[in-house]
Amino acid sequence: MDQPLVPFTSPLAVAAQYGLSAHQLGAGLVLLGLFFWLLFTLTAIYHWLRYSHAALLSLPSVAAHLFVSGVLILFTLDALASL
Amino acid sequence: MLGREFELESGEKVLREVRMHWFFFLARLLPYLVLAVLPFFLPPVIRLAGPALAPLARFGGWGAPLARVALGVWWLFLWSAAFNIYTRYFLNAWIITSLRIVEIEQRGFFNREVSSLLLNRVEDVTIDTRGLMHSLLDIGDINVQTAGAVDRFTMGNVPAPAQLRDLILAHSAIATGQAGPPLA
Repeated sequence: MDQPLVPFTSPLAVAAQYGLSAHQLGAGLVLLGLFFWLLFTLTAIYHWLRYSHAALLSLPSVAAHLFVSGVLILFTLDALASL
Repeated sequence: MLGREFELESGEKVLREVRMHWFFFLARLLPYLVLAVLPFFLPPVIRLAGPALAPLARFGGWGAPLARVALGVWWLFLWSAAFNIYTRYFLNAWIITSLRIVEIEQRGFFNREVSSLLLNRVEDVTIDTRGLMHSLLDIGDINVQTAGAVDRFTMGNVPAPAQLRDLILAHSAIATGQAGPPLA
């Protein structure tokens, strides 16, 4: 029997097909995001400290990046905890 | 000032450190701002799309925990990308000293070129201001023509280009002995 065409599937339904819960899907997403963030942050800090360590803006810029990133990571982890 | 990219000669002084005009820096950040608020327009679009996107509508909107996780990761990605723009804006600079112009070009991470041009080799400095925004904000490109192997130094979208041209020409004249040092 013909089934109606469903062009989009919910991410949760896709995850369920692979035996993943919503929490596991969220945790995977967060881990992936944090991995790339960490890679970028270490590279950026290296460049700031290596090439502009004498600049007045160097440390405040790195601190601002870490602060904003920290707020976003807390927001994400809070949402993950409530999954 | 930027870090120890180069050693100053005795008697050499840093006159000016120049970067691209802040307007272009902000203009480069604008797409990230748009992308940051874009997710909030998705639920109405999904509802408008009707039954085709019905499975996504059951996702729960941005109040749902999984959606907030995705939003947090998205914002973290965008913030990192925007900080990358800022890092590159800051690390790309022209440093004009009393003896030379040092061009620091940070093309990307781990991709950097630092070149120097002695002021006594400067033959001509031209500025190029095109367009309404450039004229209103006093932004332009500076081209420094030299007699050396590196023919031309160009820095695009710098603030107050005429002032910078005068500074380079004045110190070029001093370096070639055509003028005395500036009065204090």
